[in-house]
Amino acid sequence: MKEAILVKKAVKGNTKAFEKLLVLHSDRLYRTAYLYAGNREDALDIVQETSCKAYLAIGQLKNEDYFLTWLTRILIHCAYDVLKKRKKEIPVEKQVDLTSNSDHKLAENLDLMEAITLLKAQHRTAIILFYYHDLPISEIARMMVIPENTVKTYLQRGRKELKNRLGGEHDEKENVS
Amino acid sequence: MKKKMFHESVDQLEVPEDEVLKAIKAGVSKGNKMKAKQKPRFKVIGASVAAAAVLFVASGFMVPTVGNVMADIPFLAKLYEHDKVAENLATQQLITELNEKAVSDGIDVSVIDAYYDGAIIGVTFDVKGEVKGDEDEMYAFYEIFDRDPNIEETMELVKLLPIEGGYKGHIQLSYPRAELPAETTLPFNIIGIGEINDNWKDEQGKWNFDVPIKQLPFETAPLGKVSEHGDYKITFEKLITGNSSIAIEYTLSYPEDGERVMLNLFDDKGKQMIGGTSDAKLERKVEDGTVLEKRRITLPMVPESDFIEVQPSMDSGEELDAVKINL
Repeated sequence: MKEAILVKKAVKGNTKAFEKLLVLHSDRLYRTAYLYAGNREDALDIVQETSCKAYLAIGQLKNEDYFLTWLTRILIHCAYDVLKKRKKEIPVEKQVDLTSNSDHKLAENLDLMEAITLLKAQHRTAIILFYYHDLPISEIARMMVIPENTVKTYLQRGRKELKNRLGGEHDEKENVS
Repeated sequence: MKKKMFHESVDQLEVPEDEVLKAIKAGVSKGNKMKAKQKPRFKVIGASVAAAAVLFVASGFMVPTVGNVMADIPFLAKLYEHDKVAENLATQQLITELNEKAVSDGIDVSVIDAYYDGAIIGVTFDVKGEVKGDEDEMYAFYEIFDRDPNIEETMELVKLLPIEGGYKGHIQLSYPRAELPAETTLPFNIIGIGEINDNWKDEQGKWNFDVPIKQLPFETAPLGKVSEHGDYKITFEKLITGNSSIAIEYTLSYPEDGERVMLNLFDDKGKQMIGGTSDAKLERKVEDGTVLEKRRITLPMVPESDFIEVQPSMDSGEELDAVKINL
């Protein structure tokens, strides 16, 4: 069934159609959640919470064309919640502030996925939405409720942090302006 | 970093398909049960209240190669092409020229002009001297208001653009305090210049300024409009109309563990107004589990519209009643 029809049915309250829609996007939902959480359990928690919140709110979706953007926005907030909870659970002495420690040796062994999970939440969001979801800067600005120039700054900072952690090998210039 | 490489890396992530499907079903089922109980709907959807960014930064502007610049006005208009407020004020010659210089590490920084319109401030500065780094990737890292902890964002990066003999930087921010003084100074300290350095955020300002700013004439009009839903209430207090910018002040009250509320703005043709707006928290207090926030949303332009429709929405997608504000 075409996605647009499923969205229409879901907005009207059809649970099966809503579930089908989420299944249709399940890979992307999981992968995005994983980029935030960095582990399978938390990523699955994020997917579950997103499904719950989106189900509660689907009746409010006004523009059916934006279903995926709308769903991603909910997922990002669920991911922030999980990150926040996890931060509370990790004892302070075990937390490593990588951003303030430029000569951190862990960096050498990280792959891109791990490096992303170490970015500051806002930088991570900008990077995921730009590089994985292929969204334009204007749309990222709208989703994150920040000005476009701040998105560009986050992207630049995020890329810079990734470059530091990955030893520079991935830093091919890409214009984000 | 290339998008293709990013996609390839993400695609390599193994997706535990069965468990993802279970998570989706469990989420929908949980939602279904909550929906049955929900009265009022908001209380159960507890999400965090995240602060919106206060500050918006013009990433710089292009300086035209000096060809035949016939008059000051087109030149200035071009100079500020990423800052519509500045562009507009420049054509009316409402930007104050300054010449405040600070020297450190063999680099001269001069604040050359500033404006203060309604709730928006803009500052332009020149950098001269031996700056290290790639000409196209040059940044200045600065702090404002001496990192006042009551202000949401006080440190920012600004991209510098090469000009003859140095670089030019321009910032724009919304005034972060409740009162808009007629005359004041903006504490503006540049911490680092050149290639981005991770240690910048732990360093002190080297090029320090108190930029004098004088408010251009502006008008305020009381609004007294309210949008309410369950435990969430938005009172639109006043409209500030500057020469080239406007701002709406409002008070938001919501449960302490409630959801974030965002304001979406539309013009009289129903077109969403995005880009450059800033929604700043000015004051916050908690009384009996209810958060009261005084906030100001700023638009770096005066829209060509008879009114602005403000559509508040919550993280869950739930919308409050829209409010129309006549301009």
